[in-house]
Amino acid sequence: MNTEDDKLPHDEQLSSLYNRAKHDIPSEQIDEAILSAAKRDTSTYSLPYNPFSNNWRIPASLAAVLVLSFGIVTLMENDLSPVNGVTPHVIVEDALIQKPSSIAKEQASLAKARSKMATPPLHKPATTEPAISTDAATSKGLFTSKAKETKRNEKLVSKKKQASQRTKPEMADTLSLSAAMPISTVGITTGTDEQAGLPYWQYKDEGLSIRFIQRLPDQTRGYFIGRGFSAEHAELIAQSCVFQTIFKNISDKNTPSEIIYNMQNWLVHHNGKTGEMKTREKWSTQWQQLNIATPAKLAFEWGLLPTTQDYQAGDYNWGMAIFDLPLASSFTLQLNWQQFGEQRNVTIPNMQCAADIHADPESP
Amino acid sequence: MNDETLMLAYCGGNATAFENLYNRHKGSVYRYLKRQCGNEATADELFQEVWINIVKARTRYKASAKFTTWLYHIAHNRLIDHYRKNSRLPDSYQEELPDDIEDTFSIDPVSDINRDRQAEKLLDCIAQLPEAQRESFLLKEESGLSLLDIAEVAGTSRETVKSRLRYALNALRRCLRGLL
Repeated sequence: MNTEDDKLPHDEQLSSLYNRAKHDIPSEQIDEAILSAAKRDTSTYSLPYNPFSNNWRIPASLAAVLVLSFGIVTLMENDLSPVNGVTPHVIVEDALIQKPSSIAKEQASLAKARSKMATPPLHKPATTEPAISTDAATSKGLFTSKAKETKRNEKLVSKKKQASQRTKPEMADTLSLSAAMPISTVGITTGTDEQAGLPYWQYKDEGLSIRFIQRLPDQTRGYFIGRGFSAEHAELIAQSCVFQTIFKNISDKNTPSEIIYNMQNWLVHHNGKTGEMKTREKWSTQWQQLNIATPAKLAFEWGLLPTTQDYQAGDYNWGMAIFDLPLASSFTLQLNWQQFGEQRNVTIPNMQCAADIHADPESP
Repeated sequence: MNDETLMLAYCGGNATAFENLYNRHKGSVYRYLKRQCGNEATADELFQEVWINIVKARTRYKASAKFTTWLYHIAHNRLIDHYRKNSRLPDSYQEELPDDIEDTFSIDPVSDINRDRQAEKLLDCIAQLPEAQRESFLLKEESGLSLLDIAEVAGTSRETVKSRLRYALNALRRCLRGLL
């Protein structure tokens, strides 16, 4: 029973005024991200409790499992066929059914790949983490004409809503993928990156945080022309789908766990096709053929997130991630990495490549 | 259907139940977070984390507590994490408020048009409140929780919530007085 002591102090006039000011609601993009995560989660995992359960559910579930198993096997067979001349690496999605021996084998192959590659050092966390703007994050200590670029970027950022409006999600991609692969999308958030002012997609769990921030083609052009690329060659990168990526091992200090990833195993689903990331090694072959100067090639290599890397607890790194997709396209990214002694997987649906938005001329 | 039944239905795999629950509470939780952190981009991020936590926790959910209390508890915890990540917990959460406050201000009755302006001004005034007082005000106005529930969400006593709320109401009346 409520007593006088349990009453909240109240002012009718203020309450009524506040009710008049209640306009803010989350964006439709956020609604969609949360509801699709909730929906996908119910279709992915076993159900602990169902207040509406009936006896027919058990035989029905068994029948559904048989039908789904057959469907998944058929779809996996289809997925094994080469797409765009590349045979995608097929991953068993459920970490629980991956055998330890296969993890060890994969780790050994990753270690072998890593030993062949010179990867830039990781950034150890400082007491106060540095602010990461899209350009600062990309520069990684190289000389940058940031002052000149700042004003230009402000104008670019002001166009971000136009870019988002022009890129419509291609739901068909996501739906067909979710039917084929039971993958968790819980932990994914999206919105506008506070510092870059551009859309981002983020996955976060108890061990990993990875954020992909859209990068406008003009930012990419400016960045690479400023680092020795000709306009023609910078255009090759700018016409790709580029994201600024921030990768952090956020495992607890009391239960630290190393992360190992290999971007070559990540899958990109677009328009019903599956492909791979365009890694620095693939670009390197292209730069070789085009006789790009060494300083420009080095700047490019340092600008990209390493293809494979180890992260101890607290380590973080950033760099560009490039997808060989047309500007303004929508796609689904399937990530995997090793942590806590298992392979972990996540699918980020409806990622949007930036459209080619040009800044207005600067006012005199 | 009440919140707890909807959440249990969602635990049982009914995604539509979650959608109903989400639509019922999204505005209030969003405004609570946005006004507390004062920044739309951060609010977007925290808001998604709160609901993702609800989705993740569905296998552990038990209807022993009120759903709204649980929801705002998660939202409050995310805010505290956010404060700690960026600097430290605001002093107002530790502040002891003297009990002898008098409600000395009142708002003059005004026309509808002026009430819209007053409502806008009220949001500015709310933004100027110390975090802990602002939180008590927002939880009362947005969540519909009782005094005891608000105290539970905020991790404090009901007397503290009442003091914070009285101070908040007085500060808001003062801020709005003579505006129009």
